[in-house]
Order: sequence, then structure tokens, then C-alpha cells
Amino acid sequence: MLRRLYRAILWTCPSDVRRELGGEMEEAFFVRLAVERVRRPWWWQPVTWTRGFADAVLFALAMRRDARRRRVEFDPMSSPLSRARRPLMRRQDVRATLRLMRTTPLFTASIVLMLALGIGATTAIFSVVDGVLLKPLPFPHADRIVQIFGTAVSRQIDRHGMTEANFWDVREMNRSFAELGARHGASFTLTGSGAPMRVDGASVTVGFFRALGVTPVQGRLFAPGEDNPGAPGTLAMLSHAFWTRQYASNPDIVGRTIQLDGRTYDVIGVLPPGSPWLDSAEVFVPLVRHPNANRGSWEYDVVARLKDDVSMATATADMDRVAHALAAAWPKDNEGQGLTLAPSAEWIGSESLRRTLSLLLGAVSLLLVVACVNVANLLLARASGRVREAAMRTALGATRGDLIRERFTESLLLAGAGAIGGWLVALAALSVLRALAPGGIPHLDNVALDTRALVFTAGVAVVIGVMTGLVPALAAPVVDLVPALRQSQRGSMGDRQSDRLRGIFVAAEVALSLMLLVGAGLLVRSLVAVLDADRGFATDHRLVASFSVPGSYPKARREQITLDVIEHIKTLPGVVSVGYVSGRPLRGWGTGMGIVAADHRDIAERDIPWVSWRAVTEDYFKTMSLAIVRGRGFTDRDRVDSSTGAPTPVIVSQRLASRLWPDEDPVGRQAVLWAGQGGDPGVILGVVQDMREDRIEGEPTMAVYFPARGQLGGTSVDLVIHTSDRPERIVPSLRAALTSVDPGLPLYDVRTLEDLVNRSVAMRRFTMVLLSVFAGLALVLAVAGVYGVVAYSVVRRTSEIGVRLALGASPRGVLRRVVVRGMRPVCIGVCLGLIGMIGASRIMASLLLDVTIGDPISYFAATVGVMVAAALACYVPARQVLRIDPVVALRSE
Amino acid sequence: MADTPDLPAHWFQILLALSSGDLHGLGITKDVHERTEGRLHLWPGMLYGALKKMADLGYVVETDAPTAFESGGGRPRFYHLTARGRRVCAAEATRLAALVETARLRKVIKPVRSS
Repeated sequence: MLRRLYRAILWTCPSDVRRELGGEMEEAFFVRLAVERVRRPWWWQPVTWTRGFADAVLFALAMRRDARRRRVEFDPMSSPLSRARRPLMRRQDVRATLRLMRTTPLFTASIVLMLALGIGATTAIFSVVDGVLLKPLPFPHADRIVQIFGTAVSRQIDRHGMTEANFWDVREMNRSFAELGARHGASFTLTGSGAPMRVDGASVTVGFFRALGVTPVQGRLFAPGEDNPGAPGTLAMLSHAFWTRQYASNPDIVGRTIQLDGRTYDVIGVLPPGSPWLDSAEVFVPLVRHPNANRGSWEYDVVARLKDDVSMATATADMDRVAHALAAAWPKDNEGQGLTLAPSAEWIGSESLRRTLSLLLGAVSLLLVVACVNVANLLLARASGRVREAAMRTALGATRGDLIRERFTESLLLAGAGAIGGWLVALAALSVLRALAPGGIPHLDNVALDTRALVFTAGVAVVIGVMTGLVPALAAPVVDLVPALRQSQRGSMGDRQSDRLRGIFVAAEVALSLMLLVGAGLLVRSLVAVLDADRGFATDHRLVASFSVPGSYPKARREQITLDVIEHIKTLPGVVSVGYVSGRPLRGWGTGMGIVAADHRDIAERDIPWVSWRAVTEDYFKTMSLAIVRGRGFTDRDRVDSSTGAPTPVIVSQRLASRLWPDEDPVGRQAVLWAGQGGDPGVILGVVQDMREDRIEGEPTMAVYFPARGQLGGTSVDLVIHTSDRPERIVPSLRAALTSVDPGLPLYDVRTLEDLVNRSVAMRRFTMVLLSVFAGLALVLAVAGVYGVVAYSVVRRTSEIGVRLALGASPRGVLRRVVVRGMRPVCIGVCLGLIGMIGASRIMASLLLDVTIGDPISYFAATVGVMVAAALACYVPARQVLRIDPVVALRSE
Repeated sequence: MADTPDLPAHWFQILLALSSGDLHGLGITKDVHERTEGRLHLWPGMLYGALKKMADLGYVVETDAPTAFESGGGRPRFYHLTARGRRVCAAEATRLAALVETARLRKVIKPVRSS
């Protein structure tokens, strides 16, 4: 990055000098940087860079001057006078501007600071958007890759995973894909190197990485045939991160074996780094085809690569054909099911992330506009103050073009300084962003200020330079020389024009910052609404933890281990109660099924409620502080027993109960579980209080709870533990409890429930904080703008006010007039801002909760805040009026 | 040319560095840095700008790298102090020496211990 910038500067040298010395200078520059790095603290570095760049710029300027001098000497025909071409920026203009900057350091510094903040914030957000949303996928010809989903039209589910059996059928029946493959998540216990460790695993069919076009960094991919029925399937590929972390990037790992769940796997390759899919697990094993694969469970992610001559539309039609064929062949499972394709472009950031980042980019651009308007306003004020100087120079022979060029030189230099400052601000902002950002933003760690960000910053700076220069450049040149020279600026045409411009500027600033403030207010209110919503469950003193049980143990042994662990944890000091649940709370997704009341089983399929289900032990509700409102909870005798055909005892949540049996007592009623997916009989034991099981936002989850006893033989077990002390304290004894039951049980993902709640709102909080910061900055800038305009008008109208006072106007009355005049553009701006925000809140709607879209409190608070701040910004400088002595004021006339 | 206006300090340092033998840019930087105990570290633009000008004035000339020189990639330019450059350097040194002598006579600094 630095090297590129340095080269860019050297590029401005005459070409012969550059060729001769460029390489050596570059080398010397980096030697110097290395020396400085040792000598100075790290934060001094930007200063070093700036000095080095300045040195190179001076060198380039000196070399150009020499070259020109030489040209003039050698070419007798050329002389400065005969040169018709005028440079865009003349050295004397630059010198004059620099002199002006030196003599007005406060003015210059405030402009550069405003621009640096605006440009820096915009660059930082731009580079995040660029790195997260605009970077291509790590797969060759990614535009040919699609993801295949199942659809359930009748149940209004437009995308779900495919079933294993359907995947194999699609693989055989399709005519569109060169390769396709499926992936299914798994979890393994890695043993053989130190303590047993839980690793995220996935089983993939041979075609999966082939469809993506992955080239392994070590070894090979799974080869055709390795997923055929009867293949041993004991091969493993490692993710790049896992290889680096666990095996220190040792290339010899290929060919070695690892122990997963007690079985021996041959490591055949290492995947390249990247996202998605490549980092979706730590260890990948082949997904071997079963003779009678599952048709009911939608759990497989399927990706495919289109054949070269097949378009998306053709492939979609092909999938419709396959779906019809499947529905005809297996009506029980595939009736009403379809297949749909999604382009791989959708993998780059989720829709909500895309919206969030666009919102932030929009907001930060508004901030930048406010900063620019402020700068334009300041430059305009200064230009008006220099009307006399301009008139004098015009009289001495300067052309209008000369004056305009000088203004442009000034604004471009300021924008350039602002861009350099903005670059530093962006560097700092990015590291803050990285530290603050929740986990939901992919590849944020790779986001850096690269060449594209540099081009962006430079482009923004040029645009700002031109725009802010345009205003004073066009406003300043003097039309009427004589009055301008004779008089002070009061009353000249140009000035009334710039008064109007200033009013427009203030109105625009106020409108934009009001919009940002209202937006921030809406997000704050949404977050508060989410956090205040009744979750149903208690979060304090609750710990959520998981452990895994080796898959090599028989199921009965796994179940016994789980029960032993739960019993053991119960007896630990500091544990109030412990409950098992088949999916930890607030995971963001859950296991679902359809359910209908047995006496309403004929309802239309699309009216079957789609609910979340969990298997829980009898203490789960107590541990989460959920009350049983009707009937009873589970006991250790309740269990799912499909062998007898007896209905499964279930507990339903309040919302579901009132949906299935409005105005009736649900306890003891029969229900059809898995309605539309087979259908098993169930009986309602009780009704439990509502809770937000999957996510903290939105409506409480409609939930069905099964007794977990009898099906605790899974390989990963999620527990919720209610403790009397701080929940983190029991982790060591928890670990000891696991080891005492079986030494091969790794504990993982231990978190407090508070932490899970915070995480689930992290993205919302992040957006809210950033938007609030932008809104706050915009408000400060707008207030500064109002202040500046009023202060300037008071100074300018001192003599006029002096006359009024001398003629008997009361100072209070004059003060009021000044304030009212200052507030006029503010009020216009507030109106415009409110109108604009009503339009813009529709764009924000997806990030808000329904209750807050039109939230009057946000609008009211922001409006009052802006008005009060602006009124103060008017009043403080306007008070100067009271100190005007008419005698002194008139004498200055 | 002996009565040139005062040399810029870094020109003088560069000439001094070249007085003991031909050097390339980085070599000059290193020599100056060591002699001044780190107080003067030349920025590349200053160094090469000065070398370029001094070459125009005939104080230094570019020369081939000594045969013994081991290049770390690339062929840096070596600079050689001309007779004129040596005179200019000497003149500056004399001027500075005279200044130092004055300072001594006026007891600003301690006299040299005669040995």
C-alpha cells in the first residue's frame, strides 16, 4: 500500500529521473521507515509516512522545475511569455493558498478536521462494504454455481434443505448440471492428540467441492466413487483454519490418520481458505450413499455447477420436471414439494447484512454531505469577506478565470488535506469497527484499506474539492467593481445572493442531520423494544453448555452417559437445577414441524401451523423459569415410545394452544404431530408459558416440547444450568463432572444465557451505535454551521445594528430579530428533514420492528433536539448584539 | 568557486561522506546517520535531490560500482567526489573551523587540550 503510494508520487517526476533513481529512492524510503519504526512509538508512523511523502513530493517538484529550466535554456524559441497553455493549478496560487492557510490556522484546521471526519468515516464504511459485499466468491466461474433448495408451496416455505434421498435422485435425473454435491453438518470428537476435542464436521458427497471448483492446497479432493454405497467413507479433508491451528500448517498431515469418534480416518487433503462452505466445518468426510436414504428430513445443502450450455432458466425448468417426477414416484413425501435454484451471488452476505451495510453507507454519505456543506459555507463566508481584495485584483488586471482558479486551488488543497486526514481517520475507524463488530459480518478481518479504498478516497476528495470550490468561486467574483472597491461589502448584489445560499446550506445541513438523528432514534427504540420484550425465560444465573459423546459408543451407552452427567451436575454445589434441551435457546433457528388438532385434521395444508419443537428433560422448564400454566410438566416416566403406538405425550406453548384449541382446554386433547410429513399421534399433557425460543425478536415461538427421556442418545448434548452463584464459577466443576463420568467427553460452547441474549442483538446494537455516532457528528456539524452563519451575520451587520440602536431600537428586540432570522432556515430544514425521513423510514423498515417504524417519540425527540441545539447556536453569537456600542459601531462606518 | 555561498548542511554531510571513497545512496545515508549519531537521517528526496544538483554543479560525478561491491539486486549508482567538490567541502570545513575558532577565543566552548 505504502509502496504503491510512494510510487505514485515518484510517477510525477520527469520520466528520465524516475527511471534513473526511482528504484533506489523507494528502497531508501523503506530503509528509513524501518529505522523510524525502531526509534519511535508505533503511533508516530503516520507522521513518518507523511514526512516521507512530503519529501518525495518536494523532490518531484524540484526535478520538474529543473527539467523545465533546462528545456527553456535549450530551446531559444520557448520563453515563459510564449507559453499559451496555462496549468490547471499555478504554483503561485498554491503558494498563496498555503500562506492563507498558515495565517488562518484555526479556520484551516476546522475545515480539514470536518473533511477528515467525513471522508474517513465514509472510506471506512466503503471499505467494509467493498470487502464484505463486493469481493468475489473464492470459487472459479462462481456465476455458474447455484444452490438447489426444496420448496413446500402448500406450506408457504419457499426454501428448505433437500432430503438425502431426493438429492441422490436429482443427481441421477437432472440434465443441467456438470457437478452437484450435498453437504450435511455433523460433529465429531477428535481423540489421539491430548484431551478429546469436539470438532465441527460435515459430510459431503464427492461432487460438493467439485461443483464449487475447489483446488485443495494439499493432497486431493474426494474422488468419484468414494461416496458409492458400501464405500468405507473413512477419508477426511481438513479446513484451512483447522489445519493451521491444529496441525501448524504441516504439509505432512496428508497421508496421516486421525481418530474421529473412535474411528480411524485417512487425511487426504486440505481445503483452501475462504467463505462460504470452505469454512463451514473443520473436518469434512465423505457422505456415503445409503441404499434406503431418508426421504422425510430436509437437512441437506446442495450446490451444483451448471453445464456450459445450460442457462439458469433451462435448469429451473429441468428442476420442475424432476420435482414432478419425484412427486409422482413418492407422493407421501414429495406431494406439494418443488425444487428451486438460487444463484451463488446470494452467498455474499445475507439480505439483512446487505441492508444494514447499505443503510450505514447511506447514513455516512449524508454525514459527508453535511461536512461538505459546512465547508462550502465557511469558504463562502471567507470569499464574501474577500470581495474587496478580489475587486482590487480585478482592477489590477486579474481575470475572472484567475480568481476562480485561485478559489479552486484553495478548495482542492483543503480537500486533499482532508483526504489525508480522512485516511488516518479511516485506519483508526476500521480497527474500532473490527473490535466492535459482532460475528455476523463475514470476512471483516480481511477488510483493509486497499487500492480501491485509496481510489475511492481520492475520488471523493476531488469531487468535494470541486463542489466546495464551485460555490465561492462562482459567488465571489465581483461584477460591479466600483461600489465594491469604494464600499465595504454591505449591500452588494453578490452578498445578497450568498445570504440566500447560506440559508439553503443551513437548511440542508439541518434536514440531513435531523434525518440521521431520527434514524438513530428509531434504531435505539427498536433495540430497547427488543431488549424489553418479555422473553418468557430468566437469563440471570443461567449457563448454557454443550458436550459431545463419542459416536462410536452404542446408543444405549450414550444415553446412559448423558443421564449420568445430568445426575452428576445436579449434585454439584452451586447448581440449582439442570435441564437438557435438544437445541440451545436463541440459536437463531430451530427444528420445525407441522401440528394440527386431531379433531381438525382436515384443515387446509397451508393453515397447518409450522412450529418449533424441542425435546427436553423434566427439569428444563424449571431451569428456564417457565411456568406450566395448565396441566402438568414432564416426569421422568414420560417418554417417546413409537413401538407401542401410544400417542406421544407433549407439552405445547400458550400461543400454540390457543391457536389449536381457541377457547377450549387443550389438556388431554389429541393432536397430529408432523402433520403433512407423515403424522404421528400425540396427546397434550400441559401448556407452558410462551418464550422466544429461537430468537429474541419477533413473536414468541410456537413450540412443542417432547420428553427427552428415551432419546438422549445423541452425540451432542445441550444443557441449561441454573446456578446460585455466578454461572461462570461452576465451569471447572462441570468439566470435572464430565471427566468423572467418562474421560472422553469434551465440553464446548459454554456461555451464560445473558451472553446469548446480547449476541442475538449484537448486529442490531452495532448498527444502532454506528448510526448514532454519525447522527451525533452530523448534529455537531450542523450546529457549527448555524453558529457560523449567525455569528458572521452579526459581525457583518454591526454597523446596521448600530444605526438601529442609535435610533432607539431596544437591544432585546434586535437580539430577537437576529435569532429569529437565524432560525428561519433551521425551521425550513426541520420540515424538509421530517418529510425526507418519512420517505426514508420505508427503506429502514426491514431493520425496525413494526412498533417503531412511525415511532412518534423518535421524531419528536430528534426535532426538539435539533431545534434546541440550533436555537442555542443562534442565541450565543447573537448575544454579541447586546455588546454593540452604537457610537463605536457608527464610527467604523 | 571557493567562495560559494554557505552550503546547505546536508550537502556538506553528503560531501563529507563521499570524501573517504565512492558510495551509493544508501551508503551515504548510512555514513551520515552513523557519523551524526542518528541526528541526521536523510530522506531519499533530500539525498537524491542534493546529489542531482551537486552533479549539475560538478561537485560529484556518477561512477561505476566498485568491483568488490556485492549488490543486493539492482545496480545502485555510485557517486565520486570531484576535485571541485573536495574544494567546496574544504572551503565549508574551513569556514566552520573558523567559526569554531572564534567560539573558542570567546570562551563559548573549551579550548582544545594541547597534547
